[in-house]
Amino acid sequence: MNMSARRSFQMVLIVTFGLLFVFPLYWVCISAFRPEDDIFRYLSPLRIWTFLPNRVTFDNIVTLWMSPFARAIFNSIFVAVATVAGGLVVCAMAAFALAVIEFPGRSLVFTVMIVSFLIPFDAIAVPLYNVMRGFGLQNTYLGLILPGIGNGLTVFLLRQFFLGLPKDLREAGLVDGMGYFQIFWRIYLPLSVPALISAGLIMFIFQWQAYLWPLLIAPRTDLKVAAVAIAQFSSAYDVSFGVIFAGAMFVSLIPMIILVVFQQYFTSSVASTGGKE
Amino acid sequence: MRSLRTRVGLLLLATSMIAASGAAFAEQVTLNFLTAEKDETVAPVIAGFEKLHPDIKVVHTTVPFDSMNATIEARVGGQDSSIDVFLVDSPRVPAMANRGYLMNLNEFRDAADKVSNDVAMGVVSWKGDMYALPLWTSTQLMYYNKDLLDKAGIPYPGAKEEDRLTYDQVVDLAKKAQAAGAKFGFLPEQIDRYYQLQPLFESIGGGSGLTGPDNLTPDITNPKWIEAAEFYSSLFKDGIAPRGVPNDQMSSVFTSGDVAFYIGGPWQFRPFNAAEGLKYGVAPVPYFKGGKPVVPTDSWAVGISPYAAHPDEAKKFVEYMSINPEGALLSVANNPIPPTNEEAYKTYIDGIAALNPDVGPAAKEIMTYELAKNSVSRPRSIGYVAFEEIMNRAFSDIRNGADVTTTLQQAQDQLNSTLARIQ
Repeated sequence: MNMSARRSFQMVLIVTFGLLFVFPLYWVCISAFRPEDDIFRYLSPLRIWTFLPNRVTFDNIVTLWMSPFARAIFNSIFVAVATVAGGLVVCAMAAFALAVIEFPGRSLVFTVMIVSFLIPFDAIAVPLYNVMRGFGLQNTYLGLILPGIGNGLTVFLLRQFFLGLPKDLREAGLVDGMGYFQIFWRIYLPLSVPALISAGLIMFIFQWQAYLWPLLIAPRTDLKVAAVAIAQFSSAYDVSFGVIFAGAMFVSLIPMIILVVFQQYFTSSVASTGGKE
Repeated sequence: MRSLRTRVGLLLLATSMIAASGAAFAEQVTLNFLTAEKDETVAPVIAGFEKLHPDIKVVHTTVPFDSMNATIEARVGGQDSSIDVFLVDSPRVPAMANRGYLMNLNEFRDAADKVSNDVAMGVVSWKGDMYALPLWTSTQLMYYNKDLLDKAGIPYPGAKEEDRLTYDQVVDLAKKAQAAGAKFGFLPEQIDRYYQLQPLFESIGGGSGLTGPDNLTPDITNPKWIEAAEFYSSLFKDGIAPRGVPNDQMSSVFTSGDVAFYIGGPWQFRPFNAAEGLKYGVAPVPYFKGGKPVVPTDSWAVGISPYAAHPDEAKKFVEYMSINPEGALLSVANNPIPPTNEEAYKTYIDGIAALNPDVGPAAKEIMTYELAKNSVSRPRSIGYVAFEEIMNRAFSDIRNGADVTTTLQQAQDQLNSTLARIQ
């Protein structure tokens, strides 16, 4: 096989796999514009109407936005952005301490942090809920935001990135009379923008896709987040697939836009974390 | 000008004083009500109750259906006083009562007994005590697609009790309909769910699957159970029902006009009536020859949390929903399932009958005699939740082609150890 034929073959393979990944999402989007009866009608066998809606309706979109979905989207954005803002400050400082400051028990603290992100959140949700309720944080934004702030994975990523920064910079800072906070603020943070963006994205996605926690801690209608609001369209005797698909479409759009805008930082920082010097 | 200002000032002062004194006299109590229903489903009954009790405000919180039990476990189990009243999936009453998640409601027994039948009363009781009030119930019918039956030259099955077909007869007709062009012949709505499949085992005489003291001994490998499970397996093996369609999409296979016979609940009337071009009829759920007719039943009951912040007001609310015919009827105003309150049922069933003049009278007749005579509740056991989970998995394996006897034996072994732990 010559070079160009090989490249064409690879291209076809890549495009085919790409389409296979995109198709379910595409199907969800077009199904949001189909009447309820048509959604599953043309799934099997595959035919032209599987891929194109033969009847188009905006009823699902209207029903979605007539419900408190706009409020839920606002809540999701607010919670995710607040988590990223608060979480970056807390996690970056923790990562700096673990990467730069020598103190007894540092490895132990780091190990505990690693273990913390290996435990599935669902496993601690119920006891955590009881603690939060004890603090009066049920049905509050703070209750939604707090568990997302201390993110073990984010601390790990940032620590690895900080370890990769040259020691000389820190030492120069110390010689110039800077304290640790100034070194963190003036030297490490400005050099770590890609890693911070990457960490922010992880925290954003964590909150954006959270379901069990918001369901437990903030079930009040005006505090519901988007994921919970969408699930509400499935009751014991009636599942409104069209509306659920419409909701899923809008809910996917926001992280998609953010990822497209920041993807270059995300990949560059993930690639560079873990490398020393 | 000055006097006008003085007058306005005095008026404002007087208004605020009246408002303040009014608030002092009638301090409104807020009841928190948790369900897996949409706001509009419970809005009528809440409005009716609030009109009757202006001093009580009911705040409805809804959680998705699949998360309802987990939410109750977490919140009521965590002694959360911010839930007063909640809906309870009735077969879970024993387990929840046993764990202390439900307030004892014996004081309502006589009043509830007068308006509900024995089946409905049975499911809310555990070891002689009453832990919830009956609210809604359910039954099933066999829907058929008139066009597909016409095409195959099959006469429409009758709605009378004596017209009830056997499962074997329905399968024969289903195959005939498939030969004449129907994509699928016969399918149950909630595949793999014990609620839907219990009638198969009960009808053939195999029992509920749980026996012994407190229903804690599994009995799912007797010859009748195996025979009924083989029947279920054959529906999918022979292509009479589709293998890859999940529960919540099953009704769309019927509305698409692809199925000749379909067993489902009365909640399908509205979507089936709305489906364009679908002509359907209803008949009673089949039974096994030599066995007895059995249909599934029960739905949500309504209970009070033992940690409720306002237990007295909560009692007034559950009494209104369950025992007061007006409240019971309002609870199903935007809900397609029958109320357990017999007085409210009469108005409800007339409403169902009026939905579609072609099907309504037959539906009314079938639902009324099924609810009265052939309804069998799920077994009362503190081990029901574990039993249901294990059985649903076994049914799924059987549907996907696993050997029936081996699968049931494995489930039996698993149940033996799980239920022994619960004992």
